[in-house]
Amino acid sequence: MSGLISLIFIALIMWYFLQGRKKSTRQINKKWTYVFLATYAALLIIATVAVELVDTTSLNSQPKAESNEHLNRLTTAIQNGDIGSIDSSTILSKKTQTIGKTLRMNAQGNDINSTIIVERKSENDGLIEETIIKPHLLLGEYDFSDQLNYEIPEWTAYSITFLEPPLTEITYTTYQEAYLLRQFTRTSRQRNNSHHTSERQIAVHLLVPKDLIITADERLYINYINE
Amino acid sequence: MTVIEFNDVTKTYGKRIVLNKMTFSIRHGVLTGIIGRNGVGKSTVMKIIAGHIQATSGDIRVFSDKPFNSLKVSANSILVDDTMSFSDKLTLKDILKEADRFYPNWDAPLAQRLFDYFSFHSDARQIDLSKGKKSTFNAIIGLASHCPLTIFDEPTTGMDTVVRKDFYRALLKDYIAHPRTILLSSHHLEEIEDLLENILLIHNKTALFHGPVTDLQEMFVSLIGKNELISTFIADIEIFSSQINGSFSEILVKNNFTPDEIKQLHTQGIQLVPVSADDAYVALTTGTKGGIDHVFNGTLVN
Amino acid sequence: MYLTEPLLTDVVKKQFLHKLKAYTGVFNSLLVMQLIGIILGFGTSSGGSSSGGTLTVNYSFLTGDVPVIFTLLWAFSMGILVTTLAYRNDAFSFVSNRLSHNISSFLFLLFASVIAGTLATLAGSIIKLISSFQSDPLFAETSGLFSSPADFFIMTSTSVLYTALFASMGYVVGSFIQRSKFVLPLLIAAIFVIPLLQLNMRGQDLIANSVAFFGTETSLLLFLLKIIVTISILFAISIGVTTKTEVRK
Repeated sequence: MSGLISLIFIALIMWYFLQGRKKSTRQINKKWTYVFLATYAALLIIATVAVELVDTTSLNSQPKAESNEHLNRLTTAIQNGDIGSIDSSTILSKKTQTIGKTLRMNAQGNDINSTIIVERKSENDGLIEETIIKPHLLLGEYDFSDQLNYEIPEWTAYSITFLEPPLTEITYTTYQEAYLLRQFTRTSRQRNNSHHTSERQIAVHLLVPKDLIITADERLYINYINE
Repeated sequence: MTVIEFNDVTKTYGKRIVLNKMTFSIRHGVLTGIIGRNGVGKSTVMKIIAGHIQATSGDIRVFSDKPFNSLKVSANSILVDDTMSFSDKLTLKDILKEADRFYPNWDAPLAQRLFDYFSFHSDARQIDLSKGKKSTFNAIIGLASHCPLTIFDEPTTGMDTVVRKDFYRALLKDYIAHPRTILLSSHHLEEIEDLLENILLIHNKTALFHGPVTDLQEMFVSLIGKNELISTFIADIEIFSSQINGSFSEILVKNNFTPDEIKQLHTQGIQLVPVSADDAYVALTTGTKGGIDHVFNGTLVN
Repeated sequence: MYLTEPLLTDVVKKQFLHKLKAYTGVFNSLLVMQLIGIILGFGTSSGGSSSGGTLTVNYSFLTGDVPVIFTLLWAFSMGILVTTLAYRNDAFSFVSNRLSHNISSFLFLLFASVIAGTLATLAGSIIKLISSFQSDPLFAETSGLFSSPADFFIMTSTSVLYTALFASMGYVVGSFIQRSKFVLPLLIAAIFVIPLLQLNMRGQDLIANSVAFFGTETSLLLFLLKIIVTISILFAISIGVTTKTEVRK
């Protein structure tokens, strides 16, 4: 439908240009035509230069998404509790928490979304080693991880409470040069129309004493390793 | 030197024949009037000469070139008629400047003087001019271009009487100052007959008469006398037009009297009066039907 | 009174300069078309939002396509426009023959294509710039003047070549229309009939083949060659078609 409307619209414009000349006292002077054209060209050139200047400062500061392979490796490492292999830059925090014989895992809110991995030690030292791994957010081909809001869990002497992360709202615009003009440029001609969203909230890895008794809220999805 | 040569030129539009095997030639430096009734193909002849349209058959030479698609003909000739148009983006001033670039003989001072005399506005556009003003402007371009072959097709369309007279005067003066081949067509032969040297009369799809204006005039003579004298005289003669004024009649007949006959006419009290080119033209193109008068007054011609 | 012996090149040069003044309407319409293209360029951004749980994403997707498409449409119309009766009669008010009129009109179209094609490439910058003033972050594929001058030059060349191609297509269509009144209805009929015929002619799709001929070319040099050859053929056809046209009838 909109295609039809735009076709009619285009046909109207073409008809307007192609129709014969009319008597008219309000003709655009030929001098003004070139003045308008020159002004328009100047504006475009200024815009082109200005875009370049803006470009270097903010436009492309958003990092491009890392390769899928890298992400898959990270996910596997998290799922397997292989904390040692995780790059330290992706680790948000590490701490040790003393605990008694029982741990109560609470949830506050419905959308916790945190990945929780529990791994038991071979001994009972009364300590829980908590590792929190940064969340990540990929939109299309851009990495928005640092804009994703999260909430780290809260500890008491005998419990951990997972909180619902605050709402994250992201707005962005992408621009691509005209399809026709990219025929010979090095940039891919394949239109990246995918706005594929890949999101992971913080991952919490807990290394707990061997015989710790854990009771968990049923809204939490917990991945126990070696059980 | 011959500037224009037509040899058996035929032009048809579909099945309609406009020119049929027309043959004539025009010498350099002559001001020729192209005369004919409405729709006989005066404009067609002029457009063929200018190379704007192509003849269906026959050989045409202008400056010894075939005019259709000839740059030489285009550069050395100009056709001024009501199809002369200019871009609506150009002001009259611009058009004069452009004409200056295109025509090597362009007389800019003359163009400017005429432009001012006819009080044109520099920033006006040709498309916005009234019919008469447009004709005047086009005529200025035709005059100032000083093309070796200048063609005016009905240049005075829409002009008022004063401007018409001014134009013909300007044309004559410019022609005397810069002699060149000029073709001029008009519906009003009586207006231009004093101006013309030659007449090319187009009739029945061909050149009926081509020669000096005086030759055309001398083909006919007007006889004036008492009604009864004239009516006895006309019994065995071709009459082209007739008119009755009270007891006197005037008839237009072919001028092929011998000196003896002329003497006889004088003794009978019939006067021989030279005719105008216009009357001769009308006589030649209407034949012996008697013209429009005859429709109302069938008494003289049986 | 002496006779001038004009050279074709001189007359063409004079006419070309004349057309730069007389055909300025062409540039007025270019401005209108590109401005409409830029405005629609914002309007046609595909976008959307996805939200789930605690995450909401609003995105819009802008391209420089619309100004380019409008420029090509403009080029096609202008190709037709300069072949129309009024423009032809104007030319023959001054020194001209059909060949010189064709060559100078064509040179004018090529000149206009260079301007229009370059502006069409730049028009995207306005879309980019205005978007970047909005608070949302903007991600642009950089083919900028400074960041990748080579790409920028290639894009401009591509734009100019396509514009010239469309102008020539308009010119040849216009020439046929001027030749006979029956061409226009035939042409319109063909536009509707040819797509129907495609269904029956497997693998011999003329339109798809011609689009592929230009669209799938990957070497700019070969593309340039293809465009030059095509334009020359179209121009030769136009001259052949109009060499007998009568003017100021």
